[in-house]
Formats: sequence, structure tokens, C-alpha cells
Amino acid sequence: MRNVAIVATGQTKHAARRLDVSIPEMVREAVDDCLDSKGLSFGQIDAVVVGNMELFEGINQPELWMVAALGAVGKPVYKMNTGGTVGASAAICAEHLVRSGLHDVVLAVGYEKQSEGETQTAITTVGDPAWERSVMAGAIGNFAVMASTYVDRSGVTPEQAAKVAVKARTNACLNPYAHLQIPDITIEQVVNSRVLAEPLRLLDMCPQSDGACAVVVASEEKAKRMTPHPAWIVATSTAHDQQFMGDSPARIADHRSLQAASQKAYAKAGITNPSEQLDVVEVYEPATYAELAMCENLGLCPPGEGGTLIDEGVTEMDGPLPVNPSGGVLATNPVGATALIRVAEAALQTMGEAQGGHQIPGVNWALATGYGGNAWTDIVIMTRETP
Amino acid sequence: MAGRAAIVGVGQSVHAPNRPDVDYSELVWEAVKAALDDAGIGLLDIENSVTAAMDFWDGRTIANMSTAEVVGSYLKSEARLCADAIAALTYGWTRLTDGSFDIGLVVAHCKESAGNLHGVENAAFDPFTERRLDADADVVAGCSARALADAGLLDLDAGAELAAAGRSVSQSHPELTPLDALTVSDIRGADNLAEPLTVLDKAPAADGSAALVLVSERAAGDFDHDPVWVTGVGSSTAKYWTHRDLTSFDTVREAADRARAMAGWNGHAPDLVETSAQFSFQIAPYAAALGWSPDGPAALNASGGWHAGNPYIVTGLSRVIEGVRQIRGDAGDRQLDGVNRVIAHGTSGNGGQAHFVTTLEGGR
Repeated sequence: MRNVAIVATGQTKHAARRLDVSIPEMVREAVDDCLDSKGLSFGQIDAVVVGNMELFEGINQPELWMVAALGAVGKPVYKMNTGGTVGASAAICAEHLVRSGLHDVVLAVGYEKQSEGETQTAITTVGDPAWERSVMAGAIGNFAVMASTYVDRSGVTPEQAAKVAVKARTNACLNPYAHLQIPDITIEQVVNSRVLAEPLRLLDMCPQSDGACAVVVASEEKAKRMTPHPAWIVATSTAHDQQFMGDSPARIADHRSLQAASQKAYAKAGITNPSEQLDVVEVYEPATYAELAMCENLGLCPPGEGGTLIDEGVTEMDGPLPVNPSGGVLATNPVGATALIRVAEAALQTMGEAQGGHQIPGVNWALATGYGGNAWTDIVIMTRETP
Repeated sequence: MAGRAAIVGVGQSVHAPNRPDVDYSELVWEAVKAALDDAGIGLLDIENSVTAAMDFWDGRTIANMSTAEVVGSYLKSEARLCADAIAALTYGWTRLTDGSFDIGLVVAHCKESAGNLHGVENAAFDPFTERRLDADADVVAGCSARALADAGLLDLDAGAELAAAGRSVSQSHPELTPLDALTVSDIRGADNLAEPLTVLDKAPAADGSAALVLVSERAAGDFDHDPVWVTGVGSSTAKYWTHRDLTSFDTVREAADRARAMAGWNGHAPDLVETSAQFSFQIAPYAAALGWSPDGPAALNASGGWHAGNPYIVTGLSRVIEGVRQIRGDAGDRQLDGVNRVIAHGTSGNGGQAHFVTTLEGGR
């Protein structure tokens, strides 16, 4: 197996409504940002992987409509859709395409322009048409059930969850790409924001964003010529859970796919003590409670200790294991791009290139997750030292 | 290349104009079960799967949720591509040849009967300027045929003859639903679809699924069937339809050239060309780009091709499965003599914008 690395990343400025650009223009903004960051050109790209949720914008086969914006004319294009994980799935696809030797340099792109669609209507179609759809109403109710289950198991309080919201939106102020930047946000504001679905309040929940993200994945030979410190991909893994909510009753409190995927990835990467060995984590947390549950299931703290983790400041920007210095999904959520943003931010941290003040010093190991479908997980682990 | 991968099991559901008897997961399971049985393994032996399907066709976002369990991905890896199934085969091939996995499934499904075909096709057009003109795949094909006619390159009768021949395979193929036999004049005289094409110039819509078991070189010896090696993969994407030369078949040739170069064919002709052409006039040009000539020596579409009644998305995998069976000598009534090199093709995108090609070889 040959070495594979992320050599460049790019993002749009994410926002609730990017009325200044069309969908292809928005995608191109991230692609240009990515290529320009390392002086790369389309001529160096062998193939393109695209992640997007077609029903969110109501555009079928969008990669073919925007093939010119992707610089993909005359090239292989791999269009993926795996739900919220899709951005990370695109990065993992790019990794395999390069590691196998099929291609040397692959551009992975994820995007969503939620202001041009009706996301919550589209997400309701995720339910099985016979058994679940008639009682579904968007994503929030589902996340509220997850959060309740987790609260029941862990005893996490609304104040502890609110600390995650404060951390995310404060960190986001240091990330020039982030959508929700709230400099003076307080725990009080979060716990007093309006109820969406118990126990979730408005500021506990991720936003809907317009935005795109792009990364370039390259073989060792090419990577070393493209950037001085590539983010070497040392392990990737994916695990799925059952489609029906009733078949995974403990939901994210006992997050089977996250446990399975992270254990596989740790074994591949030679990580035996993740909380000690990882330097930064970018986790796909759709809501505040989810970040705490995911940290537990990733083995970053003992089971039931998610609340203590945030109380003790472990995951703060200046803590021993920063989680989501980018602001995470709670700050930025263009769904088709969201998991790729986790991967890109982890790569930026590994390359030492995070801008605006959110770079963590001395990162050698970084982990990114993707979350989607019904509690599905993607994991990408990268390192600064050449494997 | 890092390693090799081979196909050791194939299977298809019954492909029919309408399969109201099964939901998506049941439909997919028919093909998966057949492929697993053919390989002599069970679902729990599968380490990873790559699927091909599209949310618009399934009428459901993250539609692979409904099929994850039946492709063996509980607590394992599945990824879905939204394109012709040979794209999924290509990705699945990289997951084995890079050493990540030893046993994988590649699965595709589509139920064209369950949705509004025109609406789904129309949703792939520019949403601001073209969609309200009510465009669909037929319109692009009609424009392409018209442009070819203007250039003196269109032979509708020859296309109809190939389509009729392909369609006739459905009458004896155990996984297809028998379609009425047609003559060239039946096709030419049918109702207008998009000038100069008739409704019978388009491959019939279908419901169905297809699956294959793909294994690494180190695992290939553990199976009963002689492995059929995937020796080359190649794909390419044309410009959007309003920006491209609709008389050109360069994109399918580019995809085929990439696959042939990887396979090291160096001008060797295939024994069998399996092409997916949704419209009759595309069959000969696509097949020519893949290495077929009316004067031989390669045979064309032993499976009948798309006109014999395969679903969108699935069609490329149906071509591959025929190639595997022909190489193994398992093709029953359709068996040709001496097939060892097959080139198989799938396409998606209105009017054939994206093309996916793979080369298959027995032995070694």
C-alpha cells in the first residue's frame, strides 16, 4: 500500500444564505480556494469525487450539470451520497482511488446550498415510507430523542451541553470560514434560548448553511512536491447501523457504529490510548449533547464522563485535547460539505495551516468523524510525520 | 497498480417493467442472495460493499439506508455512488486492490416504475433556464440524433436493427421479462419520442437489481469458480449537454482507452463488447468506441444490451455480469465460443454524459 496524503484544502465563507453565488459558483469558490492554497491547477487533478444530497436542492445528477465548475470535463467523476457522512465518504473514496494506484491526485468536493432547497422536507423522506415517514418532521425530533437517551444514561445537564455550544461558537470566531460566530455567547443564553424539542434548545442545534469544501488527496510522490507538510492519511473506516430507529434504541449514547469504526481505525493507526495520542479531534456533532456522547464513544473519556470532559475544559481550544477548534457543525453545516469540513480542518491542523487563530500548536495526530444516515460513522485519522 | 481483484460471484433479480411485489431492500436482496450463492459464501463473509443507486429514483433521501442491511453493512463499510454501476465496481475494485479489504460486494438497483421518469430526468437539467422547457433525456437524445443527421452520420435503420436484436434476447434470458419481438419498421413506425426518434428507439424502463462478489488476489483462490479478473477500469465525463458536440462519441472512447491501457491490451480486440446504449442510434458508435466492428471479430451484446430490458444505473453491471458468465462458460443458451476478453460499458447522465468502462479477463 502506498502512502496517501491530503495536500490542500479550501472552503467557502459559509453563511445561512449565499445569495451572491449560484450553486456551481459556490462550489468553484471552494475548489479555487483549495487549489490556490498550494498553487495547484486543474491540469494536476486526475479525477473528482463529489458529495451532495440531491433532494436537498432538488437537483438530480448535479455533478454533471456543474462539471465545468468542477474542472472535471474529460475526467472520471465519482458522485457519492451517503447522508451526513458524505463529505468524509468522498475523502475516503479519494483515499482509495489514490492508494490503489488508479489515480495519483484526486479532488474531493462536498457542498450544500440549503437556502435554495427545503432541507427539512427532504430529510423527512429519509423515513421508511411505510413505517416511519408519517411521524417524521425533519431532523430535530430525531436528535432530541438521541439527546434524551444520552441524558438518561449519562446525567449530562443542560448547562454542560450549553458549554459545548459556547465553545463551538466562540471557537468559530477564530475560523474565517465559519458560519455562526457568536463572540459573547453565554451559557445562560443557550439554556434560555427557545425550545426546539426537549431537551434541545435553539443554540444546542447546528444551523443550516450554504457552503462548500474541497480537498486534494495525492500519492506520496506527488504530495511531497505539492506541500512541505502533507497530512498523511493513516487510517480510514466506515460503519453503518440499522436503518430503523427502533433497532438502535440507545442511539448515540451507545453509538455502535462510532465504536466499531473508531476501534478499527485506531487499530490500523496503532493508536491504543486515543485521549493521550490524538492532538486534535474534529467531530461531526449535530447537537451539543452529541459532541459529549461522541467523545465518550470515541474513547476520549470513560463512559458517562462526557459532562466532566467539558466541565474540566479538556476539549477547549487550550485544553489537552481540543475538540472542534473550527467551531464544528454547531457553527457550520452545509450538509454535503459538513463531514468533508471535519476532514479538511483536521488536515489544516495537521499541516499547521489553520488560519485566523484556531491553529492548535504542535499537532501530529488528528482525527475527523462523519456522522449521518441512521447513526452511521466515517473516521479519518491523519498524521504529520510521514508513515 | 497495487494489486489485482477478481469477480467470483454474480447475480441478478428478475428485471421487469414493474416489480410491485418487492420493496427496495427485497429487490436488492434477490441479486445479493444470487451473487452470494454463486460465490458460495454468506452475507456475514462480506467485508465491504459499494452500491449504486440514486435518491431521485428511490424517492428518498439517503436511500441506501433501506439497502444497507441486505448488502451486509451492519457495523461494516458501505459507500454509495450515484451513477452507472460500473462506477461502483471501479470504487469497489480500488478498495480491494489497495489492500484494505479481501471480499466486497458491488450492488446496483433501480425501480423506474416507482417514480415519474420524465420528472426525474428533468430534475437533472439547469434549474433556472432549462427545466421549465420540460427537457428530459429524450430531448438530448433527439438533439444528438438530429445533429448526427445534419452531419450525415445518422443511420436510424441500423440502430433499430441492433436494438431489435438486443430486445429479442429478453425472450430466452432467465432474468429478463420477455418483450415483444420488433422489426426495424415497427421501431421506425412507432410514435414520435423526440424527432427523429420514436418511443421504441429508447430502451424500455425496468425495475431490477444486480450484484457481484469482488475479491482480492489473495482471496481469489478460495472460491469454486475460476476468477474473472477486472483488468482495467476507465471513465470519463463529457461537458454539460448544451456545451458539447452532440455528434461526438469521444467521451466513451476516452473511458474505453483508459480501461484498455490499464489492461495492457495494446490494440488486441476483445472477444465480446457489452455496451449500454439507451437509444438505438447510440449502440453502434458506442460499441465501435469499445472495439467492436460490424466485420468482427468481437461479438456484440450477448446479454441483449440495455434494449433487452435492464434498469437505469443497473445496466452497466448487467453488462459486466454477462461478461463474467461468458468467460466462465455459464451463459446457457447465449454462450459464445472462446470468450476470454470482454469490455463492458455503462453510462449515466442525460444523453450519455458520463461513461464507465471495465475490461474482464479469465485465466492467469
